[in-house]
Amino acid sequence: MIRSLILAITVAVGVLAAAPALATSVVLLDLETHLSESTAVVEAVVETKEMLLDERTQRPVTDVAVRVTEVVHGDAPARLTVRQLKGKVGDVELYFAGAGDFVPGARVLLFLTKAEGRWWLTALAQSLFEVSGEGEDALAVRHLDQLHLFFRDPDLGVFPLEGHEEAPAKLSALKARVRATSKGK
Amino acid sequence: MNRLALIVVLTAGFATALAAPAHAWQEQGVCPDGSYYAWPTGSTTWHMYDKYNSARNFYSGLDDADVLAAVTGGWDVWANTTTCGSAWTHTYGGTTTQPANGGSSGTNSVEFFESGWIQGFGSVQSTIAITQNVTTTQGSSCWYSSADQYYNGNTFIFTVNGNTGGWNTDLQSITAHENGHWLGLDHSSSTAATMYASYGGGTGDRVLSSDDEAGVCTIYPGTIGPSETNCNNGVDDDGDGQIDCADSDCANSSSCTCVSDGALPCNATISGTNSGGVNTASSFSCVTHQTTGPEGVYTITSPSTGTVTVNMTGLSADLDLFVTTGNGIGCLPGSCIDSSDNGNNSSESVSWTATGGTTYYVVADGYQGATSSFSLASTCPGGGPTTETSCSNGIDDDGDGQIDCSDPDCNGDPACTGGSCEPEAALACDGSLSGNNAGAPTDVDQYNCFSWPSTGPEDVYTIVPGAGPVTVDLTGLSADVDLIVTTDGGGACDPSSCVGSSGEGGTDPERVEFIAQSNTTYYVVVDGYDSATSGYTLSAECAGGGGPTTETSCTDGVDNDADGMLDCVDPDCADDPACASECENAGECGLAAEPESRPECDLWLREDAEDEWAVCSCFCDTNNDCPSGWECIDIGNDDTACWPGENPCLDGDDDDAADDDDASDDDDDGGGGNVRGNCGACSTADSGTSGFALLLLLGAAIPRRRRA
Repeated sequence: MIRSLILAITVAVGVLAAAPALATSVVLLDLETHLSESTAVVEAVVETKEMLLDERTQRPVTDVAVRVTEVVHGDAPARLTVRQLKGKVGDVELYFAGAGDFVPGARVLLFLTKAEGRWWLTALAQSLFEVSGEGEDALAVRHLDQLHLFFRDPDLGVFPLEGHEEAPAKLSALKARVRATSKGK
Repeated sequence: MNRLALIVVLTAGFATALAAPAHAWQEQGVCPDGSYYAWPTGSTTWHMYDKYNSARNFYSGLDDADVLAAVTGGWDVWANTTTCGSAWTHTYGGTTTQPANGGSSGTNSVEFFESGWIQGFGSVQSTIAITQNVTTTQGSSCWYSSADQYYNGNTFIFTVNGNTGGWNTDLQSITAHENGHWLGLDHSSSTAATMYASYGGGTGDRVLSSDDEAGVCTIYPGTIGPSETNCNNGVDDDGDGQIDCADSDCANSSSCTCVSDGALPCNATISGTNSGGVNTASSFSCVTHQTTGPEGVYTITSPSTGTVTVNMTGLSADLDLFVTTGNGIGCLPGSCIDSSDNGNNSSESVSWTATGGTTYYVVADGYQGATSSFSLASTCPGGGPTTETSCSNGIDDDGDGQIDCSDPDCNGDPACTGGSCEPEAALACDGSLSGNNAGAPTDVDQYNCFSWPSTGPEDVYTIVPGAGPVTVDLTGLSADVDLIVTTDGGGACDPSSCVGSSGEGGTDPERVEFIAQSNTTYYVVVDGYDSATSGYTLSAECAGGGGPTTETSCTDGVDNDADGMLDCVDPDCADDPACASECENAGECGLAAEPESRPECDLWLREDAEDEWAVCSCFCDTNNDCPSGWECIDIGNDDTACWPGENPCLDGDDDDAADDDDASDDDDDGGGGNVRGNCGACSTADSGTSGFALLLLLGAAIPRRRRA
């Protein structure tokens, strides 16, 4: 019992001490806007993550290859590569807070935009949901702690979003909302 | 210790960890040697990306001084800690032509995007600002080697007075937070901290909490001490041996900036005087004596990196010469690079290694209040061009302080006039049109927001949306044709000032979204990637509503209201002098060969100078080329022209018997209207045989313009 308690407390303190990464100031998109900004929404499995130098800028970038298991909205190929403007090549590391972190092997739900011939997360970490569980119990959650959040009221303006907590959602419900919104419902 | 006691101790420890961590601030990272990620010298020199012209070089929504004040203020909050004393410092290094997104140059640029947003930064509707730090590691050591900051001016309207509604976003609140990341801090768990992720917004977060200060002071430890409280009192307020503007505390003080009087071009000689100038800099960091006279201040920008020399001659009093970095507005006496302080009327000379594209300030300052006229002669590396060698490279090639199209050297240059990227039609808001860029002019091969070569022919359309978001779609492609939207380059597109682009590969549809300003004409360009041509459908949706519903100009060759009728053909222009004068002002049509406003008419004739009506005719090959009821007749010299046959406008009868003034021909349709409107552009005549005689006469007199 005592060993279990010590372990639990140690884990909890360890979590508290873990440092988040950098931040980027963004407006939290509602689903409708998020969808309208996206070329496709897919459920996928992360296959590989490769860091390389961008030919034009000579800065590190990350190419994430994913295998699409379901196209929820729009059109997307069975395999695609998502580029992120961050990474580490050799001794040089480029940070981009809140760009979203992919883990090879992970199941994900992605809001994607195709631009300049490449696929990108539509709105950085807002567009990357990690999926866990199976069937109707499957959950989708995204990690926004690296983003500096605002909200926009078209009539009132741009304001900081205080106290936002991102809760896991049922994957099936999230996909249903995407489909419904996609159809203009 | 029994089990209960152990649990109590552990629980208390856990509670303490939850309630009061050693510190709430977070570092970005820790190097292998245990040190924090940080700038190696405890300071950063940063630059503003200079991409516009006039007083709003950095962001078109605010004056440069306001942008600098806000960005600098976002730095100052970190440099002027009070509870612990940070050694962190920053230096504004002036403007740069190196964009933040320009690659690995390590310039440390702050850039406001107002066009060409990069999807990799996230949705243009979402991302407000980004800071990207580059960390270099060698062995167990690591350090920040560069950082760039991007602000999304495409969507967000940055203000300096807090949020006031709409898309407004208080700039300094953003800069204070983003700069905290720049210098190595991560989000704090303290809700009072500027580095708290969901900060309080508005102007409140322009000051640091004690937690913020603890963070920056741990990473950049320093000693508490006063700063130079007055930058223009001649007193060393903080006792660090540096007085006023010579103290780095005053680097950005308004009293330490000296505004430029003009540009000193490279490899040129100019005349000037400091007489009548203002004494804003009474000391420079590279000399110990006071320079209490007024200043003559000049900017110089070498197009390439190397040694720049400036000689000052022709003095009648003891002026000294200085060169400093600048802040985009004026010189920075606290950032003096070189000086020359010979006595009396001796000539002065300064020399320094200039970074290409960076603006420096050459200051002629009076010793003990002296004033004099002088000559300044400059020498830049490699001799340097004396004119703007390219009008679209974002570089002040000749170093005269004028970049690209703002340089008079570029007057008439296609890059500044939009070349021949002239519109052929208008694209209506919430409307669509079909086209094909095959056979269109190939005048523009590159756009500033677009990295791909656009060497194909381009079709160009105008659109005048109401203020608000606009979405332009290009679909139905059979080849790789791209879509670009630019601002007005003077009646044509401006390739150096595009507001958005879409360069999907193959036949994928293209989409450009941008925020339109009110009463502004934009140019929608359909251009072929790598010489591609294709048919297409072009459509636009304007959230702010459509543009003009009438022809706003009757001479621009553009169907402004997109009703299919161009300039004078559009009834909107019926009363416009540009359209009416061709045939209604005596004498103008007598020998006119081709009124520009009526391109469908090749020949206009007047019966006589007293008659307000005129005969309009067209060259022709057959009757089919003529208006209904007109015939194609021989007018001599192998020319043929249309001539009215049984045209009811010319039958001499007052068909409607209306009680009107002319008693003949008017309003043949009985509608009581005007004969000209009913008879069309090429049949506006009340004349008979006398007009025909004149037609024959002029057919022999005018140059031949037979229809091909």
